[in-house]
Amino acid sequence: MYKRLELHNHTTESDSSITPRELVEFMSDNKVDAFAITDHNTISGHVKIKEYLREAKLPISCIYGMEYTTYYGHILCFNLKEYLPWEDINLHKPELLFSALKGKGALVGIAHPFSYGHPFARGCRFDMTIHDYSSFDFIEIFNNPEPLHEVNERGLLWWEELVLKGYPLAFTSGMDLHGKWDMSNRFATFIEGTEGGNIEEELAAAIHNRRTWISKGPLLISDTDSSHGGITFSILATGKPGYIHSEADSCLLALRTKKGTLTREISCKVPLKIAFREIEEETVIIPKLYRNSTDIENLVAVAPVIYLK
Amino acid sequence: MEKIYEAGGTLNKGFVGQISYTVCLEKEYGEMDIAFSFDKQYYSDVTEELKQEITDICNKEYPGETASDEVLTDAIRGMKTEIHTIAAMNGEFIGGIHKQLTERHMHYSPSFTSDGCIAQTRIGGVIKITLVVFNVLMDDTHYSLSLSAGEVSNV
Repeated sequence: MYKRLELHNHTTESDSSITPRELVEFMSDNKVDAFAITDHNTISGHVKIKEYLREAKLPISCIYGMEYTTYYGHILCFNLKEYLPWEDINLHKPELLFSALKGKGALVGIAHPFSYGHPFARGCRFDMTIHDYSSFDFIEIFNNPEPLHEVNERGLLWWEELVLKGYPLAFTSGMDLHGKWDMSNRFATFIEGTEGGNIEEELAAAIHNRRTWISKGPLLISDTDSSHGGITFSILATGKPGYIHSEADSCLLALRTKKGTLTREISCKVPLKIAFREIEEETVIIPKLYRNSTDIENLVAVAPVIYLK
Repeated sequence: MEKIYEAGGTLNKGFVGQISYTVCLEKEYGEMDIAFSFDKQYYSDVTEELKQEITDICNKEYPGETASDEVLTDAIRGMKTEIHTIAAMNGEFIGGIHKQLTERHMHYSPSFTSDGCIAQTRIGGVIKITLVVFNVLMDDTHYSLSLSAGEVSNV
């Protein structure tokens, strides 16, 4: 099964208007499979959510994390068991904090890398100098409330360029929720999992194996068949509330490689096979799904990168 | 509760970094309150000189992007001096306040713990309070900090 995750959420423990308990209820009402609590620089909400989940017995899981809100960038952490101090962060050596967090078993990523920072909100833009792109796990390529072109498109392109250079980076999206905001037609993150499976382990596997999806609704699924020299793509509905597909809309599959982007129309109902020669035998392929045109406004989903041998 | 420590200071425009205070408690307490306040959170006036200063910074930080006078003025009105407070007890994190309140408390008692803080059964040992300064808009920004502790009142 595929699980829908909402991976960037705040509560009254930092600067949101919803309490930890209200966050659980809001996510549950929206049919989310699992959500993260990522308050700014505190983990005080963890125990409150654990207690409420134990009491309410809702069919939803929580991923315990934090948004390290530093002077030079925001760092999203999942599976965070303890607070690690960050205050001595070095603008030119973020790897020190990344490795300390990863050493504790946390998943570490960069949130909204191109947000507006100084002079308006110091730290919101990621200004640190990264020397080792394998020192963190993922980039939040879509932070839903951020401006599309100035922030999210740049984030997506930055991640794509790093992936095409061979860096092992997963991607996520988030609502950066600070209240009961409408989540329809916004990107959510999806991973593979099992009914009743351990969400922390499933998320760790998805991030480490770079098997995350982001989507406003449907998922783009790929199946590589080397013996037949191609990849078959299909579209899978997820039931994410608020996503409406019109029959009049065309769906476009875009495959970005180092050499360019191949675009093909794809049916929602019939899988589409792309031969390796069509992508010029490229070995790193970024699959994306658009509606009607490949403008960023019409991006519907990004699927896991395909690595061919 | 009795006031155990009190401090204050002045921040200059543009300061980024942290200021820490360490208080050694000589006995255990049931309740603690850390109070912090600061002034000059927002610009009182959006002058032409200020708009030019911010425009110059934006031209450097965000080259190629332009904003109308109205957007720029709104953005400047939204800018604020931003200070977080973090508390640790005996080296362990016990709370962080991100909410930008100019007067705030980190309160720990058996019946109430402030948002952002982790409940403690007893208070004792070494308390470290860190002011994490993200942004200071104006020179001579004053702050004050105090730590009070005591046994829990039954009244």
